[in-house]
Amino acid sequence: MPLITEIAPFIKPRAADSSQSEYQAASLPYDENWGWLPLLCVVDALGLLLLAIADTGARQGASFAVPLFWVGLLLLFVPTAARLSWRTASRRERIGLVVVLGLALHFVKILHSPVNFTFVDEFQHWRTAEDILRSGHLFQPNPVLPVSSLFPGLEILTTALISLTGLPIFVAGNIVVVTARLVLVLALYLFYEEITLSPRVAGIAVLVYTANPNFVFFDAVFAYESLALPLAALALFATVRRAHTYGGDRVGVSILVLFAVLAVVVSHHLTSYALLAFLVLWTLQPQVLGLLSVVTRWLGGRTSPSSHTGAAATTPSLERTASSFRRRGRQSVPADIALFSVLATVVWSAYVASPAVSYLASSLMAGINELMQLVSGEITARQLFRSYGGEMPPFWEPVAAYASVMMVLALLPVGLLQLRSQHAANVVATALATAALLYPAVLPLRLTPRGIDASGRALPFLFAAIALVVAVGVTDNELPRLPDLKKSARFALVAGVIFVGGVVIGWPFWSRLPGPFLVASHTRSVGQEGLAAAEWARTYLGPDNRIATDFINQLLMGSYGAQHPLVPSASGEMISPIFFSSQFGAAELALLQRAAIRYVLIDRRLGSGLPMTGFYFDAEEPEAFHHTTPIPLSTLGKFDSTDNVSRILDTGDIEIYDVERLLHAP
Amino acid sequence: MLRRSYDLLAVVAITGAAVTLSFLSPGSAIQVAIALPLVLVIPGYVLMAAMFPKTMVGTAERLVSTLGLSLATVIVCGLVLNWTPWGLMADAWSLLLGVLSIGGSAFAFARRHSDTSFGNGRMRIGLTPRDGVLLTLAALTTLGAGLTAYYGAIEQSIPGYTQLWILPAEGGEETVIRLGVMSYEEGPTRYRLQVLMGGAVASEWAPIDISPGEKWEAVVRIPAASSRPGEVEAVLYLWNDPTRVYRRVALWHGDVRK
Repeated sequence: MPLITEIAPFIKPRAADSSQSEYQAASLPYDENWGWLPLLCVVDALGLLLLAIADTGARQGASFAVPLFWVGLLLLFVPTAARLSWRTASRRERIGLVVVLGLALHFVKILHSPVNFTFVDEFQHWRTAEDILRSGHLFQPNPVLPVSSLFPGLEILTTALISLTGLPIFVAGNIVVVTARLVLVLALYLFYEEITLSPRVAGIAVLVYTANPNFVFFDAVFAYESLALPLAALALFATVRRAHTYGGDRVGVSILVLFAVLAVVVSHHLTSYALLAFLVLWTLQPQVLGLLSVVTRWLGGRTSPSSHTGAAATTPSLERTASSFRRRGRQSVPADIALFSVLATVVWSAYVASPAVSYLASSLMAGINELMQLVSGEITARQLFRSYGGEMPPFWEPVAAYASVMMVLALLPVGLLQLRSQHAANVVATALATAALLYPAVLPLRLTPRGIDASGRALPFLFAAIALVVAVGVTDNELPRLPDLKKSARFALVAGVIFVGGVVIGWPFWSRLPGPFLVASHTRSVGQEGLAAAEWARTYLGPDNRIATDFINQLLMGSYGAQHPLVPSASGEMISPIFFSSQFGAAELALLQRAAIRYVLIDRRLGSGLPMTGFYFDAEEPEAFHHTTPIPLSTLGKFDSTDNVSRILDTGDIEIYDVERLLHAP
Repeated sequence: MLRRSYDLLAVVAITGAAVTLSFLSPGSAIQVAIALPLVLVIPGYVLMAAMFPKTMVGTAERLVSTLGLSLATVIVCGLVLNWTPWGLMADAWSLLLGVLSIGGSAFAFARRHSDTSFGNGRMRIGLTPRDGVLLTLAALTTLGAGLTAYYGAIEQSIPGYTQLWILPAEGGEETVIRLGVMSYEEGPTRYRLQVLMGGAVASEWAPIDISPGEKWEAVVRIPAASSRPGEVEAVLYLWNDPTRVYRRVALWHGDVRK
């Protein structure tokens, strides 16, 4: 039974959902037609094949790899975008299209790293999963990312799968994340459809969501956000559905919501805070608007005649809106769910995950501080798109990124106006519109080295709101007499630019494809030699030795190596001066003893180039984000000439030094 | 009534098989195939069946709720297991998910039995033969993409390398050291290994032939005359390049000195 006829509308239905009415007019089975889905599956599969060839070519340094990567991506996105904009596609076809698109874009990341984890966050969560498997218990200290073990939802699922199947973490983790991706696109579609009662708007909204900068890579990695986002989307969908579900089914939907909220709280700090914030906004916004209306009326009664004239011109409209919102507020605001979310989040944060708040706050404050310094002229803006190693992407990539942002910014007011005129009484749509207004506010953070992290974290959440606003803006303002084909072409062009720009913004150009080693460049720095050294350490050194090394080898040693790398953000020890000093002297000895370092790992490849991410060891190291010359090889090699330092492993590029004897030196 | 609950019978059968296999043959391919739904599908499916006995929700809604509820339920189960003495171990998972699935199925069965209005909402797949051909083609092409990426990754040409290590003997006996060589070269490689004490060759192994992925290890006793505090050095040469040091490691032994 189509959703449209199944549910009692809780907002005034749109004049008619055009896609449905056209189907009915054509006497076609509205909900039982797959339409172009099978054909577009073939197109998507071809896109994936091109991406696989691009990945393989990139490993060999082939020049065709980058163009082929973009052709493959566009083949996944553009035909689906065009088809979703057509009025004649059935609901079933639209659901199929967004599911296939969501999964296909997820496979882009899997094709990039089909053998082992290579993304930074994956190693951090690998460690948590490994600790659970080893100890049988949660909340073991994670030296690589302490907050990871405090939000173990992803690792619980992964280790449950491993316990029952014997699969390796890499395979089990990817199965969990792919399942979560399926939940994400389906839940988002149903959420948008519940709000708008339009399969067409819902499909386009999911399409716009897939254009968010984190969708292709960051939210496809084995990390807690990849699981928590889908669960949050499910919670939102079920919360909207609950508003018009009655009797015993309401109990069932309520249980679904509570389980989903609880799972989000256990799985990811930021997603749980974002979900909580949105539920509170959704609950309180009608009351706030109602209060504003009263205040406006009160002020209107006491203002001077001249100002009263102006107020009178606007007040009736505002009052109507506020009154409508209040009525909706009584009917469908999720006050009980919001309260449960607040309680669950507060209890978890207070009793289990108290470091999470300071962890997030430090990241946000660092960005805001740099932004203020930028405004006051103390620092200069980060050069966008350029790596800290000095490389620039092709000229068209920044153009596409700017065009993407400008298009979103241009479409937001259009969609907001449309929502105000057609969905003003829809409480959740109004709350989403309010959340979408934050988008311009997070963009300036991208101009600073540390603010880019905070800005990037916010985008997957803001795009859940932006997607609906843009989708409403696009679909309600298309030219009615333009044929489907031309409309689709125009829409696909706009959506394609937003998508391409999103990918450009979301993941640096040097890391989108695999390839030869690059210094401090995330995925391109993870190679067989480092992995083999980590496995050697696990085998021959035993677990949990304190080891000082660069950022990438911290991850490898902390995960595959089962060691205790000294990560400054986790341990509080700033050890990078040990590596930058040209001689090993008293200061370095004191630092080494204070941090109780047992082993030092030197990767001589650090001396071959500037760090692409701006730092070698940690973001607080001397000259971070401002390095102009690589570390001299003589500096890296100083341990060879230091008494009582044993060079216990040599792999050519990587050396491990045993410095235990120095710990006892006078 | 039983005829209308074949799905729940299937759930019980799969659960029973998965739990049994987890005890009898962990890690087998069939266990993987059966245990995957026990974690990712069945917990949500039985809870949905118990909570919505009339199958009122649509296919997409049921699918997303089933998967999402499974994920959420297993997470909650993990928290519960953490507070038990057994923790999150394989046996505990098998038992808990088994009990949850079979108990949930029984509850769902009872609710269906008491609800005479229950009916199987059958979904028409609606695929034409042409659709089937296209989907098969898409699946095969996707498989081809996966294989291309996989073999491209494992056959990526990277420069070969060799690990050389030196470690004190287990137990900390200072006059005994362990040496090891592991080859990750592109083909079988021949080496020469020397142990130097005070600059003089104390031991030598040649030739050492190692294939890629294989390792060579030895335990060396430091002569009493050389066991004064200092450095023991091991130097590895490629057989076909006998003058250039290929790898070098060193181990300090004896009293700590400045």
